[in-house]
This record gives sequence, C-alpha cells and structure tokens, in this order.
Amino acid sequence: MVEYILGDYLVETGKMTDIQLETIVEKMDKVRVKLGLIAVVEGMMTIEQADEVNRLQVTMDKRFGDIAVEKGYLTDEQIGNLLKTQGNTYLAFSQALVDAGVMNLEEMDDVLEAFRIKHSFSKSDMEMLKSDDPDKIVPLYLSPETLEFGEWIGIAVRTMIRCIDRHIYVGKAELVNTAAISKGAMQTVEGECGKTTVFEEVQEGLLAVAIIFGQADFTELDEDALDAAGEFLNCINGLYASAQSQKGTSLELLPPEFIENGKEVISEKICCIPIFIKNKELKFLIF
Amino acid sequence: MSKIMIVDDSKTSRRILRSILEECGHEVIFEAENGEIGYLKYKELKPDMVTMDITMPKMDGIECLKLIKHVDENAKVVMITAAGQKDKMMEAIKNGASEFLTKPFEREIIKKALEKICKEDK
Repeated sequence: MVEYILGDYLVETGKMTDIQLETIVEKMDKVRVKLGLIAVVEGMMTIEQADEVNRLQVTMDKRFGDIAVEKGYLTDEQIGNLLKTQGNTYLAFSQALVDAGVMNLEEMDDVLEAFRIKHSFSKSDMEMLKSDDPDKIVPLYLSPETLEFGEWIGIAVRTMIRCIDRHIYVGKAELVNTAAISKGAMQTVEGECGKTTVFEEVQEGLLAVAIIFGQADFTELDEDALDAAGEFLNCINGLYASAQSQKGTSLELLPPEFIENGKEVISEKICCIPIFIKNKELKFLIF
Repeated sequence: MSKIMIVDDSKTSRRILRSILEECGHEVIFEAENGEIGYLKYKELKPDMVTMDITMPKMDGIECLKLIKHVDENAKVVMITAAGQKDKMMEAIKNGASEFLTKPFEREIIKKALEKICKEDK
C-alpha cells in the first residue's frame, strides 16, 4: 500500500515516471516472499498447514499470522520473527528508489516531509503510513465525519488486498449527499446497522476487480463483469455481516444489483472512498 | 462421479463452480438462476446433488431447499453463502441441508465437502 501512496506522489511531483514506479514495484514483488513460504522453509509449518491457512484466508477477514496462531500452528513470537524476515515494504521501497537512482535517502526525507505537509499528516501519522499496515493506513484517510464507516471500509480494503491485488491503496474518504453513479454493482444489507454499498466504476478499477475475482478476460464492464463485481461485493458484505454477528447483530444480505445505465443516489450521509489498483480507480460508497 | 445441479443467480459463481465440479470429475447437468427454476428442474432431472446459493431473487435457497426436501427427503443439497449468514445457515440445517460452503469458492474445500457427502452416500 505505502509503495503506491508514496510512489504516486513521486510521479505527481515529477520525481519519477509511471514506468519507473511499475518497474520498482515489480522488482519488489519478485523478491518479496510470502509469510507461509518463509514459515515452511524455516520448518515452522508443514506445506499442508500453510496451504490450509491460505485457503481459510480467502473466506475470513483475518491475516495469515492470526489464523496460523488460532490453529496452533505458530506462536505470536514466531509470527514476529517471520515478519522481520519478510521485511518492511516501506524500507524495501526506499531502498529500491535508491538502487534505481531515483533519489538518495536524504532526498527521500525531504519528499516525505513535503508529502506530510501536503496531506496534513502528523509525524505519528507518517509512522502509521510507513508500517504498511492497512488497519493503520486506512484511518488516516478517514475524516471525523466518515469515521463511523471505518470498519466497513477496513473490511473492504483488507478483502481487496487478499483477493484482488496486494497493492490496493485508498484516497481520502468524503461525505456527500448525492452521488451520480454511471456504472457499478450495488448491494443492500438489511438489519440494525445495515446499509447499501456500491462499487462504482471510475477508471477501469471495477473492471480490474471483475477480471481478477471473476477469473475471466472481460474487456468491458458489461453485465457479466458487473455480476463478478457484485459477487465480490457480496463477499465483502458477508464478512462485514459476520463481524457484526459476533457482536450480536444479525444482518441479511439482499441479492446484488447492477447499475448499467446510471443511477442517482440521494441520502443524508453517503460515504465515498476512492480505491486504487495501480493506476486504475473505483469508488466504494456506503449509505 | 455425481450428477449435480447448480442453483445460483450469479453467472460468475455458476461458471467458477461448474469448472471446479467438473475438475473433480462430476457432471453438471443443469444450471438454474433462481430457486423457482431449481425446484422445477430438480423434480424433472433428479440430480444426485444440488449446490444451492442462499441469496437469490424470486425464490431464495432456503425456500427451494424446503420444497426439494418436501418432494425428496433424501435429496442432497449443499448450501452456498457469503460469510455472515449465520441465521440462514441455521435455518437451512433445520431444513435438512447436507453441507455448507462459503463464497468465494475454494477448490480444495469444495472438493473435500463433496467427497464427504459422496462417502456418506455409500
């Protein structure tokens, strides 16, 4: 997440090109080893156990480490050591920028400071950003008015990271009263804290979700692609309903709907957050 | 190998599920897009097993399960749902569902669930 948040800023301010950013992230991906693989190589888990945890992760809103600890395959201490071995994404990104000759570490500090001021982030906010932990980064992009939607957004982002692309990142959430949606997938969740959720297409972001989740080569956001996007939204909302169920609140999911020919939404509070998949964008709305 | 009918309103889910079931050696004999069609086709085709989405328009999976069980108490119906539908799951268990699968589909989990049902059948 942090590599694209800072990377986009570097592109925007002319410090590097889009192509340089993609090349650097591709290189980082090549050397990044998954926690499960490190655990197997280190003899902490069997391949079967790691596969089982990976499978469970698809249908649960939990990290690899949390499931492995719950299952009794790893201890918290072992998870800590594995994370250290895996390395911090921010540090890897900084190193990759230096290696690619984009900037030296001193220049990186200046860029971070300029970024911090531009986004009105505090120094501790910047530490959250550097952690590359979505649970710490997403709240930085929520205003006080949109905080109440944070849990739902957090589940959506974590599910997208697990199922769609690990480089997902977000923009500032805003609260609006109306939204004109040209194309998207929508689902209503009924119950005490139920709301309607929408994935709105902006710049091929929803198409990217449909292609990956639907396991199909969609070339446009037609009915079939929207169906795949709707199914993904259904999975996110299911995980939200599951979290609420553990708190004693029962929610019911209605079948997803498609918005193909535009729809205007009017509500007292519509929370809208941009979500980026590399250079593609979609919006997640809750009202 | 079992003859299976898929009941799901999502074309994406039907396509992915069909590919997993066929990969496991089963034959998908019909795909229904809602419970109403699913019930009518069950009576006509008598599949060995049905995979049944819970959340569907027109007639949902629970209603369809009840109707199928009414005409065939030995029907094997595997319920499919997104996470978080605990109440619906309980209702389906009360009405005789054989197994539960959670979306998104995971090949190995589906494979194991179906193997379990097939073994119980023998």
